[in-house]
Amino acid sequence: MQLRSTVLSTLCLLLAAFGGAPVAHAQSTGDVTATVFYENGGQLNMLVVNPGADVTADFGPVNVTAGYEADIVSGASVAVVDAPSADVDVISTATQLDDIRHVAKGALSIEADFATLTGGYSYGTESDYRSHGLFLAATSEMFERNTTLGVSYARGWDSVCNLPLEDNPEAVDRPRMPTSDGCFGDDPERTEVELQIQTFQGNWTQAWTSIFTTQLTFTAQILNGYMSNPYRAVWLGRTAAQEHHPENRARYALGADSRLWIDALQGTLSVAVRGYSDTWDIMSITGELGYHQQIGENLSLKVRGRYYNQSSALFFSDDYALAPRGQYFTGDRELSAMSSWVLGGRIEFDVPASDDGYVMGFMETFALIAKSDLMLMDFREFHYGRVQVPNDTAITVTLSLESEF
Amino acid sequence: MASQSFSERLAGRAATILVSGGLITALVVLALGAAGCVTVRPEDKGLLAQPSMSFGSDGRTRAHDEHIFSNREGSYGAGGVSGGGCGCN
Repeated sequence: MQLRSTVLSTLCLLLAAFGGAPVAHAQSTGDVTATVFYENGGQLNMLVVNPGADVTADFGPVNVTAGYEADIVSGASVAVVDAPSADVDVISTATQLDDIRHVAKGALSIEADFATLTGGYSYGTESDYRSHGLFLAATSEMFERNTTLGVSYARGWDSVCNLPLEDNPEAVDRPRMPTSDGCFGDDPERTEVELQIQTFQGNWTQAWTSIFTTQLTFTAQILNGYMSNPYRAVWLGRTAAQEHHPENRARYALGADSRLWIDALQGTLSVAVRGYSDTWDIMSITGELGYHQQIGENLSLKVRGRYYNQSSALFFSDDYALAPRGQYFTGDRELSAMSSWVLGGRIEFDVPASDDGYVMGFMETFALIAKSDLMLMDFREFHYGRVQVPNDTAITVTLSLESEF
Repeated sequence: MASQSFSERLAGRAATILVSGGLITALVVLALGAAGCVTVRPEDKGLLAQPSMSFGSDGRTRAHDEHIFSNREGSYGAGGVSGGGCGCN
């Protein structure tokens, strides 16, 4: 009882501190989205369908958001990287995988005249993975609302299914986990290993003129725990062992984004760059150029191009049998030196309201959005034996419905 | 000269990053001071209020991008704690 009254008192104090405006009515926004990601090449392919929905209710100074999304994954991936084969030009160990990941999330936001506080929680579950995430964020506007500063902290507690490590304490003796059968149950042949994630972020948004604005974002992340893929093994010369990554990683990223209104075209040009470095010795640079054009009152179009380039991790080797790199080994192509191009477009149609001011009688706004990206990847150091990565092209298609009611 | 161990190289790398981070932070503080001198009057903010000029208006799109890039590139995923399985590699 005392705890309940303390919580209520704290909530009242927060509401009072952030304006204490009376709750007039609840205005809601909602969106339903479905994304399809398809990657193909040779005998490897990956199809991910990602449906999701979010609802936000606005109670004056308090916003409440609830959401759900899923990843429905189906594809074929390589189980033993660099496994020897009678035909050296063939990937010998492609295996089928199917999984569904569910994520439920909720957030509470309290707004004042010049500040916003947000807190949220998410829970993700799939056959071989569980995750709990908490985040807190605060933003503040200053200098006549021309400057916005934001800080956030997020904490994740993840659990990954694996084989019992005590069976094979030496990493080079540890086999890969063949299936997720028995995970998060009583099966003595399965155990759970932990991954702790802490993310700090700060951003600064600045309106410089009436047509030019920028945003600077710094992100730092610390990961501690199991960060390998338990299903993937790497050929080490005489045997194949489950890939073995370091258990600590610190990551830093600095991004700058800008928007410029081009009056002659009545459109917006966006330019973004991002630099990244981490303690696994990966460094990357990303550049993105976009253009957004309003066409009439109800239609808008956006096109974008993106380039990404990264160096390899310190312990990455394309062939651990010939060139080992210390105690760690990986079969993850995303830890090799690589680059990618993304070309994409987005079209949005705002359904016009009828004479009563509503769309279909009850919605204040209703938008239909379609988006598609083509992603081309180049893995210049990574091979499956002697075979180049075949699945280096992906296409993404997203359809969304967004409304206010 | 003996080659450095993995942990020594990691420590050196972390120190470099910390120093770089400190310098960047100092630059940000200086820039923020300059930002206080900028004045865009409320009546001149019509274009800035458009969704295409707002960084927060495409949050959903950004989240989808982040989800895809974190599974297909080695340096993404440092933006949250959504977690996610490792079976889709």
